[in-house]
Amino acid sequence: MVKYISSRIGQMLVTVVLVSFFTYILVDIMPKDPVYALYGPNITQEEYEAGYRALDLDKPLLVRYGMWASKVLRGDWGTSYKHHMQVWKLLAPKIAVTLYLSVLSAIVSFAVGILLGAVTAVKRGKWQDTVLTFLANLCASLPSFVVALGLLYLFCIRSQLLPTSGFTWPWVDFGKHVRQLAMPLFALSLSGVASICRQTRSSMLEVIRQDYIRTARSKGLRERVVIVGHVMRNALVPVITLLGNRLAYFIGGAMFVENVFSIPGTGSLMVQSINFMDVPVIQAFVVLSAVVISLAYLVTDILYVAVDPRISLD
Amino acid sequence: MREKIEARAAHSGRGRRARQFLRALFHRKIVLVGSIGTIFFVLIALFAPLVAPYDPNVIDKGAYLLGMSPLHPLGTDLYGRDLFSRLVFGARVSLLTGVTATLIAAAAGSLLGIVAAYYGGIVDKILLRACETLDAIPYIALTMALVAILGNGMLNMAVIMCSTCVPFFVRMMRASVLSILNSDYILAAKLSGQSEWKLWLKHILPNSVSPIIVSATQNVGNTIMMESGLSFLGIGISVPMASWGAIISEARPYLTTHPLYVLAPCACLAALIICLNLFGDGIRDALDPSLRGETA
Amino acid sequence: MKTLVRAEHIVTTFPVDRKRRFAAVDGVSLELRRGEIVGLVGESGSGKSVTSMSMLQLILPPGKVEGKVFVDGFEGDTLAFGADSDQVRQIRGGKIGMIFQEPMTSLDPVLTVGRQIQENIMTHLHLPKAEAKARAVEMMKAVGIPDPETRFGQYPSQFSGGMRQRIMIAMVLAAEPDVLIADEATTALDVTTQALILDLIQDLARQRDLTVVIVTHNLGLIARYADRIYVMYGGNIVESAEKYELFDHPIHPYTHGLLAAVPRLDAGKRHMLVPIEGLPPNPADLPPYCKFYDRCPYREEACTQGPCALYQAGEGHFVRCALTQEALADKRGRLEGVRRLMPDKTVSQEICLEVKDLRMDFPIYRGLLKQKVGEVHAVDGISLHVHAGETLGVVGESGCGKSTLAKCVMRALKPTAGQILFHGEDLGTLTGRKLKRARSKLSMIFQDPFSSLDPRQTAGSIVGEPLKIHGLVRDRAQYDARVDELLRIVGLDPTFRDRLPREFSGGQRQRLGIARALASEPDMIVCDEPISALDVSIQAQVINLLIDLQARLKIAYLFIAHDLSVVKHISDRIVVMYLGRVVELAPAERLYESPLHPYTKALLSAVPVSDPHVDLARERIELRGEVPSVMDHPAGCAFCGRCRYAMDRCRTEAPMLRDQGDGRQVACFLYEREAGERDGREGGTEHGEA
Repeated sequence: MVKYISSRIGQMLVTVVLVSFFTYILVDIMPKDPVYALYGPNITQEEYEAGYRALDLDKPLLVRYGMWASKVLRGDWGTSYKHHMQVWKLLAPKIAVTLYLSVLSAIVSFAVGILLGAVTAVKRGKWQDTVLTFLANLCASLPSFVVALGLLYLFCIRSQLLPTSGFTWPWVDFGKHVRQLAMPLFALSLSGVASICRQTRSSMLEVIRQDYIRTARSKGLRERVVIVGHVMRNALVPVITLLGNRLAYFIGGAMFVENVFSIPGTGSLMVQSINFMDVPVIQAFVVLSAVVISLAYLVTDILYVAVDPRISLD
Repeated sequence: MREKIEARAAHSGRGRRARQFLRALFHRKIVLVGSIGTIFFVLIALFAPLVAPYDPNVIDKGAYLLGMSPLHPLGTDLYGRDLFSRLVFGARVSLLTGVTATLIAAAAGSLLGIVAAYYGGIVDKILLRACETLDAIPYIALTMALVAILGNGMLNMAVIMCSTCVPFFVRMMRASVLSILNSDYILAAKLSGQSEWKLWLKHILPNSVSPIIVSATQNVGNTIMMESGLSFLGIGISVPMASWGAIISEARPYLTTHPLYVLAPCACLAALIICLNLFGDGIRDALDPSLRGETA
Repeated sequence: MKTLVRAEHIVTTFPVDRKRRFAAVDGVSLELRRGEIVGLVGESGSGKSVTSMSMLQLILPPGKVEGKVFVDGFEGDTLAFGADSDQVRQIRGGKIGMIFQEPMTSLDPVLTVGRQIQENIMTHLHLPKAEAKARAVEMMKAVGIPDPETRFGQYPSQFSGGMRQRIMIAMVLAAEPDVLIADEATTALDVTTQALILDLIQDLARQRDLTVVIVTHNLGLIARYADRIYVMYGGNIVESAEKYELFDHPIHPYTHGLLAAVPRLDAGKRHMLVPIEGLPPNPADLPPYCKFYDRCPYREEACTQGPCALYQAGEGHFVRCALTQEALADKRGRLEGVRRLMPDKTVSQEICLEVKDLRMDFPIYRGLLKQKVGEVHAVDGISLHVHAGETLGVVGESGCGKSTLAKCVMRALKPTAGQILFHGEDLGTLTGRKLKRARSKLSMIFQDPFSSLDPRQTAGSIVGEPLKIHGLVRDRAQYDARVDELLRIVGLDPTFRDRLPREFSGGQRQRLGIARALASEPDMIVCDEPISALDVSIQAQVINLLIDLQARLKIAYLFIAHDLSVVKHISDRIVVMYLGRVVELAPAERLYESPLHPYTKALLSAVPVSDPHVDLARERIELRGEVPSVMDHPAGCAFCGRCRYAMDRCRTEAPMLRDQGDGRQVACFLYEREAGERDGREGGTEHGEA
């Protein structure tokens, strides 16, 4: 097991290094000249050349990558072209918000999705199943910003029940936090809930057909015990493996929701950075999110092995 | 019983199987609804110039932000362009990018998947690792980075979006080719002395293609969603093209005053994606009942 | 004897579509008495499993069970209580325990086996957890699981198939039920393991005065273990009687057909099997009269006049047939005479295939990282030859390397060492055109009729593919004619050539596979378990087809199977394999009459004969343990761990295959004596050291 985890961590590091390398090459492919980007267009030839050397652009690509990487490892992601401040200082508070939103939304999606999925599977063919499965099919692929705009219209403009925008940390003002977060969280989690619900349903229906469930029934166990103790236990294994994948999805989706509800996360910063070609910020964001997602995949794999004895024993 | 068998045998195989497939496809009403919806949007996109009452890009300074009227069924936008016409042409943009991106992704992904399965070993490892790397970047960050490099023309957009779903197709094709390569019927053909390329042409490719078709149909909706999302953030297809995402983005500040301006394109987007997905699920169930209800 | 369970007119239906339902079980009544072993026999789709599950209300919606079930100790009809009621749950497990066919999938993979046994004890005996654990360990010991304390905490995937089935038995019996239903409980196991498990069940039943229901398709098992038998067909019980009565005086045409269709180990090789014509009934499309009508050689107009009733034919002997006992006996006299003799065939002295010291090793990958941890010697030095026109049978249990041997012969695998000479040419060194020509003369029939046909090719193009590959036809017209001819040869209607494989039944698919193998006019066909996926009555059709084809086309067969009775019926000579080695090779009749190797003897004795008198008279040899995993290959003789004659020498040195004269070869130290000393000795028990 220890060996497995260490080899998975090794694989993850390779992935992150690859991602970081590709993002680093961005600087070279990007049509924008980084010297002008950093110092503005109105500089003299001497100033330009000084800046060129200061950015180490005279050195070969691999050397520059090595220097950049070693700086990054020390926590120095460079200076934002637009905001002229340390990328890390700029990004950290926003990443915290985005991560908070995505992790919360992952928790909600899995909790509610699994619950609803279990209901549909147990009530297969009954009206509960028909209604929930239909809704899940509709919602599973709705873009989060469409849902967000719809919610905004219903709850803020038509009825003015909830605040339209902003974000407050729960330790600052919990009530406000809840009111501000309700709609973004719903918008972000809706498709997640729907797809986890579908996944749980099909996984459970698959397990219910298995011989060992018939065995459990033939032992005279209560239906509830059969469902919770045997069906769910087995059916959740493939659902858990979706964790990494879903988190990646939520980090992406969070940007739209942040945009609609004016939440100060990475969303708006990234849009600005793309439009301004703020390369250091883009690099930092891509690499950091790759780290987060690789970690999520790692946790998923370990969970998978821990939950299903067949995998480690094979 | 016996007569029935003979009557069935009398029909030629292909026509009968096509009918069986259609019956299986439209067995569920909801799939029928989805298919009709999809065909509706496709027709609108095809015949956009005939359907749209106005040129979607003609600016009428005097008539901006009008409400519903017989002249402008859905009103006008902030430049006085007819919203209905813009939505009609928007269907073209959405479907075209969605379909193009999916076709490119499915073709490229299948090819790479076949390469991975055929060569195995180091080639396989490299391709899988590349897929893993692509998957480790949130699709939105990946597309943003690529938009930054490539710019945001319609074809570029299609290429960019396909890059996010290529890994999926690679894995799927690789898995299905590998499982077919291990099957007894391939062994049987090999043992009869069938040549390598005929083996692929006659047995492996025809059998591996149907899961790809299923996923491709289901993928069109996803790509459309992605494109509209990027346009909504203002980094999608550049403005003069009337993409639904871009319209929503443009209309966003007027949600309070002109809700229809925002909600109409939202509704179109939601309807198209839902119809496409219902249609895709229907195709999946009809082609392979064992896959029923498995996609996330 | 006290009646424990009585089922009255059970009808179990499933929906075909929105409007129609079909009856998988159509009015079955039966009773189970204390302490008896009841056999419920029938082919797939006969409703035997559904019947047993219906009694426990394990049929899930949309399936529906009607009728009445009375269980000793419970008031009234238990079906009326509802599937999830307290009473029914007490009956399940507490009163009637059930073990199922697939040991590999019948235990929950994510829970330890101990917990699963414990769960049953706690549900029914209401013991506290610690006591339940103690009892679980005790039960595991009782069913012969070594080191039960440790194994209590292990997961199902850590047990072999036979061990899992023991766990199932331990689990079910731990709650002290009165009735044990074994639903095809040993079908997926090896023959010797099957005998061990059923002996165990029989012993436990005797000790505990337990009623056992053995649900199976295997007549031999019924003949060996059951006291009373119900024969099922198409959802009906067609005949029921005490064991000896049924086997001595079978009345129903189906029972007769079944008995004649199954090859018997003790039967001579002069006669062909008598297959039951036609296809097993499709449960969704059954006639409202006798379900066997379509396939019955005795059928008359009268049979179609509505459902026929059960009548008594003797004491405790009931038959469901429209014809009377006398009418049936009368007709039988006329039909019996037509039993076919085996066709004459010519085996030449020319050697068609020769395998010389073949070895095939596979690497073993283990653990999460799939690291190579060793090698399996799947085929460990095998030499044999097949004459032109001859059938060489290869038998052995799972993991003995028989399928690997087949794949090596077909050059689907490249052997690690050794030669395979086909008409004197080494297949391993052939390439290009020469290899292609060899391929046209050497074909294969596969085990699984479902996976061995390309699902997207029509029957015609599957059968015709070899014709095109080898350029055996000049033009389209010739091609069509040849494909039609091939289909006709294997008994398929040529108008079916445009159909896809999924539109055929299992037996028909296997015929397609045979037609494909015949297309290139081969000299030899390797048959890898060609009938084991088929129903009993269909097996006989395919076996007869293979025998006829051989006589007509003079093809040699390498016939690989695990079913000794079938191999004996079809083969001229038989090779017995064990863990990658040949332990014995002998002419088919000789092998049965006087087996030499201790493993052959054990294997033969494990196979039940479908005649209780004969079976009772046969010597029973109990084998220790199960087939070991291929990965733990012992240093000496592969069989030494289970052999009752094992000597010290056997554990360190592997015996060579030695000629014993009269065409027999055996790999055992017991026979390494002078020829004179060996004669007249049976089995060499004198040399035995326990």
